[in-house]
Amino acid sequence: MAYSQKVVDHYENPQNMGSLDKNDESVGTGLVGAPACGDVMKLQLKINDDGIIEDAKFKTFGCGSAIASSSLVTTMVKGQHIEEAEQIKNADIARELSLPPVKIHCSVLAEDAIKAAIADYRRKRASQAAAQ
Amino acid sequence: MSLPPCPACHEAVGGPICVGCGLLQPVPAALDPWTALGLRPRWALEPADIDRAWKERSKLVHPDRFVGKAPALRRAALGWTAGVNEARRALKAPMSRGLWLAIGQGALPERGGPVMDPDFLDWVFSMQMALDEDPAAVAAAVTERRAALYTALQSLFSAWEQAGSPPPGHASLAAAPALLAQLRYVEQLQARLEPTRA
Repeated sequence: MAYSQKVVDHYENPQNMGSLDKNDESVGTGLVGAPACGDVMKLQLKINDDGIIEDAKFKTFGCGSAIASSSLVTTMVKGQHIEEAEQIKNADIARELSLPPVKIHCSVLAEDAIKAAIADYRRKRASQAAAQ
Repeated sequence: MSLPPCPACHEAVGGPICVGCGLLQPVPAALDPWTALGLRPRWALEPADIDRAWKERSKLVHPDRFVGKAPALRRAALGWTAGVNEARRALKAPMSRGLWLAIGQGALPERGGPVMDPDFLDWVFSMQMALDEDPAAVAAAVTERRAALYTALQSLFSAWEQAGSPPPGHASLAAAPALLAQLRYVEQLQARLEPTRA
């Protein structure tokens, strides 16, 4: 099995690797893991008051496909509204990267990470609203 | 799993060779490692026990014993041999051995596996982050975590044995997949700590 050129590109030249301040009220953090392979992925989204994703960063410990999937989603979600980003499906990621069937779970992980990050942001906003 | 009766003499068979007529049995479509090696399903298994069972079974089903025999028999010998080799590998790895007991297969499903405890994922992430800076501290923490997991798994599977070693999916095994998944993450960390042994 060979990785597709797109996986190799993202793996060798990952986009938006790094982290954002997890205590920032406008930052949602998603930390997810794939029990089948032991990979962990952290995705952070900085979201403005209009619900637009202004910045996205990731850190992933896993195989090339997991790194490429997380790198790809950061490029996809930047500039999107959170409701739009929530619609991203793992199949979109898998198709874009031409992932083989055994690596589909990496794209599932990336989809889960987006959802977890947005859920975390919403939780923060809700507790902020409750405090006011 | 019990094997179907012998197709030739209809005796109940305990292994690959019929006790009634000595016929090599066809390989069942779903062959679990316990049936393949003739071992009682259990967590506490020494590598030497597995090797012994593998050696005995391999002798019985080795394709060399079926040279010149009917094609169906030669096919069965190859199938049993593959099954026996695979079973040895599956039972030697603690994670797949535990999964065979808990969910009746040797690997976690790609989707819909156990939901991981967020605190545990946090711990894994922080260990991965600290690995390059302070490998000794990470190694110590990983060893400790691994030992704790083994203790938890041991007590879980001994409670399961006391319940009469029920088949996969039993309530006494409900916590096993998540613990075994944690073991997977810990092994992943260990592989990064000892790249040459991975």
